[in-house]
Amino acid sequence: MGHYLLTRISQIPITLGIILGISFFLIHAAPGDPVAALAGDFVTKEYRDLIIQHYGLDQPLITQSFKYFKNVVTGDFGDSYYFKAPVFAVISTRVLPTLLLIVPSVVLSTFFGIVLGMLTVRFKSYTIGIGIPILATIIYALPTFWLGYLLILFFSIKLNIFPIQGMSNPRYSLEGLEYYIDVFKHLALPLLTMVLTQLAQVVLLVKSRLSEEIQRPYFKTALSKGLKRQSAIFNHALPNAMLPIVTVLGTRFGFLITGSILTETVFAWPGLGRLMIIAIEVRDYPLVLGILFMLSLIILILNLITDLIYTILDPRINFGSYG
Amino acid sequence: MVSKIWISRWFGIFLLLPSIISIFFGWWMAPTSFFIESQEAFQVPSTEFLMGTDDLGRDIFSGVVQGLRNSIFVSLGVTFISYTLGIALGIISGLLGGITDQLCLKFSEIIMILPRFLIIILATSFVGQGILILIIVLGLFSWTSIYRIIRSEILSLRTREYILAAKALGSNVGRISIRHLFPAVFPTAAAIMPLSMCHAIMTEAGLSFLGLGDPEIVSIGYLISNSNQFLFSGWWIFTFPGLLLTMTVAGLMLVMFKENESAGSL
Repeated sequence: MGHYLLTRISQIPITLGIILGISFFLIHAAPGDPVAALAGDFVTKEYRDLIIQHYGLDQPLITQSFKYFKNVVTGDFGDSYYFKAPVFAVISTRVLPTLLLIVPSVVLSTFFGIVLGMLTVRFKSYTIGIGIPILATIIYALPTFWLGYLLILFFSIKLNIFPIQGMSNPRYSLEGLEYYIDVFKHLALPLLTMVLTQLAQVVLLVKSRLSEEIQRPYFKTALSKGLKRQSAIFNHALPNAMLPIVTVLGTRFGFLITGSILTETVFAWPGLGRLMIIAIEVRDYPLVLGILFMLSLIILILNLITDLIYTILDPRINFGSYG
Repeated sequence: MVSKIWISRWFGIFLLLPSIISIFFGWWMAPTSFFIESQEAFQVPSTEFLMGTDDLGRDIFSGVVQGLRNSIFVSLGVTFISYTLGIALGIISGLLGGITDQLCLKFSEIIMILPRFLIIILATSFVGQGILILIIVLGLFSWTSIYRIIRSEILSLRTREYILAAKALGSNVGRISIRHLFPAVFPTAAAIMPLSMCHAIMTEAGLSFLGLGDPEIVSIGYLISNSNQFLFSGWWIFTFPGLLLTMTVAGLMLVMFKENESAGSL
């Protein structure tokens, strides 16, 4: 187990390096002028040259990339052009809000998805068997941002129970418990948006895998030895269906980035995704790369955790073969 | 009782009707460009403006019709590029094996670990916002899943008798690929095509919602991002674009439903 874990963890820096490398060349090879972001639109020729020299923008791309990667290895992502502060300082306050969205949404959607998926298989009703998959497909098809606005329209404007935007109420300076309650109220709608979009996918997946498993002979055996359908599904079919489910759930994490960027934009949530859009608008190269690094790291760690769960679930994996 | 699958499929076709009509009769139903601001602003839906007009007096109905058409156009373009790449590389990789196979496989793994949406955002915002660039970039980053499916199919097909017979008769790799392998794997590829189209439609809508789409082309994502200030005052500006986009994507997925299998399995 230890060996396996080490191998998997050592792959993360390599993956991050590839992602950063491709993005670096993509950004720098493309047209666009960071000097405008640094100095404004109206600059004298001398000041322009000074800035280009100061940030080393006149050097060849290869030299720039070597310098950048050397700094990244030592933990220095450079200075943000726009915020005039170290990238790491700008990003660090944004990580927690994004994690607040991503991690609970993964846990909640997986849990409720499995429960709902099991229920659709549990009842042999014709209406449920056809209704839930169609409903789930429609929810899955809702564009994330439109779903966000629908929730705002219903919960904030019609019922007036949740605030529309932001992460805390700027009008009061709350402290302690009251502050956390306030943040939770602001979190509710963005979190619901992200849970719903993922939930639909998990329900469909669990339902399709489980209905395959209950066709198998072992399930008929379980039923004929007197088990109730419910416990036969939970104790026999679900453990067998879990492996493919976990595999597919791992591949869904890439979509989490999409989801968090769109959700954060709709709800003005001060996370990494929204910062990314700002950074792109002002052509803040170091900041863009820094956010990309951070988001990729979050996704890779989530993937690692999924893989570990998979190895715990699957007794066939022999850790010795990785050593 | 009617089979569940056929209920899903017919319902899917029903949901797809608006976009199918938009593709074939869009030129007749909405002849003037959405961007022409000739009408009065904030008109409620009526017989003259079926879906009302927005803050600048643009006809929402024209916007939705042209937006749906562009969504389908983008998704077809992306699917064409990614499937051409995926099927071609899958056949080459599976048939030749060895070093070619390993190279293709590693390449696809690298593409797969890239956070796709972020890379596409970077590419479209730094390279250019044209619709063609969007289609090409999306296509170039979407071929990996189809490649893997085709490759594993080819691996099981390459030792079949009819392939061996073709080899023994002296057919070269190109002929075997085009005459024998491509027809054999095409049904597999076609079966999951609607799902790829859905992903392309949703990505394009997301990009134009963020303001990173082609500014000269009507997109449902743009219509929705433009409507968010009117959640109170103009429900029609907000409702129709999202509703029709949802119908199109859900329709494509429902049409694809198979016995005991659903969109979530991919």
